[in-house]
Amino acid sequence: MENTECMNLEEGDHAQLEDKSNSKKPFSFTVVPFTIEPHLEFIDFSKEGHLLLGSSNLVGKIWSGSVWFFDSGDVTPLEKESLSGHGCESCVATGKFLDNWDKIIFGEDSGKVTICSIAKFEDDTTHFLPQHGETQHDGCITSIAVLKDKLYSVSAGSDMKINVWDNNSLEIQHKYSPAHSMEITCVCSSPEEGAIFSSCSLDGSALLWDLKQSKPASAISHHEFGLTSIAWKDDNTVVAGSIAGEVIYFDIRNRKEINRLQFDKHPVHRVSINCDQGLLAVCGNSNVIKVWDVNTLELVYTDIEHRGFVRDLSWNPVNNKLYSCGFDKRIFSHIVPSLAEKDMLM
Amino acid sequence: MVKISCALDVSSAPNLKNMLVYTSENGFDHLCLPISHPRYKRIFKANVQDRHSLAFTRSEMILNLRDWNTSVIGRISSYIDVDSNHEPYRIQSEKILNQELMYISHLGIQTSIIKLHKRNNINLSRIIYDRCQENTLYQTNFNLSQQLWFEVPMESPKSKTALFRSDVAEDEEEDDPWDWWCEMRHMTSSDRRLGLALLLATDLPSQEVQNRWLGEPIKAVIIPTSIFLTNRKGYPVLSRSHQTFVKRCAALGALPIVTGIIRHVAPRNYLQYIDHVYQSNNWTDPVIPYTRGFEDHLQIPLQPLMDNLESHTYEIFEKDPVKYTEYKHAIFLALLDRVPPEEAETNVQVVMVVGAGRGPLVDATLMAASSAKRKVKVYCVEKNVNALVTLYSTKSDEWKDSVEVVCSDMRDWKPPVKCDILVSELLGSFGDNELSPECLDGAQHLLKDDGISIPGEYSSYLCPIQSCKLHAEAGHNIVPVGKLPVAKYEMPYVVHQLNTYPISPIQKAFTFIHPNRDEEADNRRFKTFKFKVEQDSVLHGFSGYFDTILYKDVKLSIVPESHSKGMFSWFPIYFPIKDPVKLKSGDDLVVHFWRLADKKSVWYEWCVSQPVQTPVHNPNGRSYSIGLL
Repeated sequence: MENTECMNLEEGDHAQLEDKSNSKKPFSFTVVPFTIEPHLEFIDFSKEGHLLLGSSNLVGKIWSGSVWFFDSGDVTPLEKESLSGHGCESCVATGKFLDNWDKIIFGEDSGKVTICSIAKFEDDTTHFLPQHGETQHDGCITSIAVLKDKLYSVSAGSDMKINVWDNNSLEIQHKYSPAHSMEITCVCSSPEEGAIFSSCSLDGSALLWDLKQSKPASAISHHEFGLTSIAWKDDNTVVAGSIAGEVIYFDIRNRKEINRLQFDKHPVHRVSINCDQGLLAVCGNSNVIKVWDVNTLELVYTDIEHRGFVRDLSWNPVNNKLYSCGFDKRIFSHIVPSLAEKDMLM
Repeated sequence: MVKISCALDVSSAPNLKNMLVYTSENGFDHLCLPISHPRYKRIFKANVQDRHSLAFTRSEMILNLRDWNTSVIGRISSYIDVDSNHEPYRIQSEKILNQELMYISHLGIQTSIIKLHKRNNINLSRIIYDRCQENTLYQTNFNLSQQLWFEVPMESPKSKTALFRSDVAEDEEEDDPWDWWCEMRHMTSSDRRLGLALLLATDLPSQEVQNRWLGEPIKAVIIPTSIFLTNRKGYPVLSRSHQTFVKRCAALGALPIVTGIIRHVAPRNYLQYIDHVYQSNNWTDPVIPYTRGFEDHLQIPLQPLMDNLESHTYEIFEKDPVKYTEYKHAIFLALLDRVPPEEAETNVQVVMVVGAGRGPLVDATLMAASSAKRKVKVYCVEKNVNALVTLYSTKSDEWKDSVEVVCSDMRDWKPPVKCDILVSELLGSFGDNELSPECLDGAQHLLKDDGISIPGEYSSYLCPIQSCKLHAEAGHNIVPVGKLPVAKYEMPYVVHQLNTYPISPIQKAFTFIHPNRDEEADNRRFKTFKFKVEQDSVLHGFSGYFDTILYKDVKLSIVPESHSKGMFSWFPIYFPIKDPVKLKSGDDLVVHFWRLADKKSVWYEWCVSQPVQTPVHNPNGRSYSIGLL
């Protein structure tokens, strides 16, 4: 497979490619053969509605991972249904579309962050083309967030570090080590500001980061229990899940807890908010998915279709459906009526 | 050629078998990795055995038993928090911990590591200590050979995060990881199978704090690749302060564990450098060949008055390059002082060597006389009939008429003449603890009124120490027949102390001067010490040292600050206390020490009265005394 066959590469990218291939780290082109591994760890939608899926094998002989590109969300996670796939060196916990569908970023257990372009070739095949790979984390990467203006991404890991990357060059802009005092479980970018994101950790703290400041971090909360996931409701409110099964609303202006839901007695794994519809989806160490109205805190949807722990939740911007994946190697879509729609139906 | 044993710590090993090959190709003996995947979460439900939580990690069949046994160090999942205030999380954590410990046991992994994140590991301590007990119903008991290490950072990550915080002052948080460890060690009663894996800090703390860590049972030193600097040729090196600390860990026999991503091409580059640092330890101290193998190994002090020393013991002590040179010099000066040059040919000095052993001091005297060009007549007094065989034979072969060999206890011998110089080597690690005062007082009738005793004076010194290693070793000592169980904490031990932290500067204890001109010689002593505690620490007992003035400015010392270079005849002494005492920075530590005697024996008693009161140790010499007969 020649780089030159690639349709969507600009001149500039070519130069970069060649430059990179001469340096110490050659491209590791897609490793074949590889498969969709049994544990689906993340899903993400491009604004066009394409699906990015990350899979790992967390118990088998080889703890490997792979990322997959699907045309849409309503798929069975099978290799043949995908448009393309890419084998990773190790398990892969997190990945995101960068801006459009044709560029992605993901992070692995080895501490490596990779940026790939996804290219459609003339023969109508689609391929992952790794552009940059950098290993700067001393532990597993647990979460990646793409900042609002799409110029930078933030990675966080079990090594308690946060790195801020340039999305074009994958050069490190900022390093924060240690950012928390225990494993960082989640980073999430502000919906309003390109320099702001939040992070949370098993140490119980949720931090607000403003890259414009010389001392960028300040505490949103110091919770009694470890925090596992964080999401923005609006530019004044973040919602975090805890190991105690709580979902907690924090006002970042006065740094106060303003609301609390109880999801389960076991840990929350992911909170995901659809700001347009005002819905808050939560999953944890169980097969249950619950969706609340983010404002009224009314439970609007419950699902127990998964047969293993649900690992990720993502809202498809094209059809506004909620998608979930999990340890049972399945992807489900959920039509969640917003409270307004519910009222209309009744 | 790399000689040391070293481990490589990895966050992920997708293919365990390949990783093990890679590790050993790079020269590492051990691979350290999580026993289960950190994201493979599981929930245990009562009475439900589900596949998801049972098949929680790789099969044991991936490696052969030998590799599991010797090459793998298992990490327990770090999200486990058995001290969580949230009960369901605590209970699940306990189950996951149990599952992982059980599997480690099953695989025969010899060493595993649990990471401590915070203070308050009360329940974890309890669980681990439970599992250290033998003959319980738990299936997860450690084998006696199995080790569990606690990874503790040298500096608190929490206080380091303040660097990036606009809402926290950088030095605001007082969260000392040493306290985390201290609590754990205390609660597990310093079990010998539990050790410390110390995570090296980028910025090393103060020397005082470093010293305190070195008083802990450091089984491994975890060296992040991020603290290595790069030298001009591109190889990883450590800063001078890190080198020094790693060297001191090396002296304790700590296993180096390299952790973090490979920043310098290949893991072997780190290993080669660490090997260099570890090896360079060996040629700095000439005494090391004689002390190796004795590190923190407790020995019962000799009782030369009651027991006859063995040939082997004499041989080791006679090899000391410093001691006899200094004795020779002292005798040389004494001869010059007693005999003016004009009398050199006529004045024959009588020198008595008491407790001569196999005669090294007789040789020293003859050599000193020859250098000083003075004439001597040597009487060589020894009570050990086995040593006398050698003395008589040396006399007939070498010494001839210049030396008279006398078989007697120095205290009972009736000499034909009194001597000018009385030479002895009766000192123990604590100076007077081999009863030199009693012996020399008893031999004083041999000495002319204006005669010289070599040594002329000696003092003991005391230092409060933290050393959970020595305390644990004492705890494992076998109680002598007929003694109380507490006896092991009521006797001194001679020990080459490495894994020790001095809590406060050394203070002088008891001084003895010879010849003793007091009207009534009384060698009993009592002294109260007040030590200032310099930082939070734990008192595990006292180190004892001595120094002696042989004659004028000729001295021997094992006091650390003035230690005679290259002298290895004496290791320090260690007086344990039964229950360790927690100390706070700024505390006054008040200690009382007695040297007591009756007609048959001499013994020490000791106790602490501040900040807590302890019982008197070794009352009436019930556990340990030194026989006079």
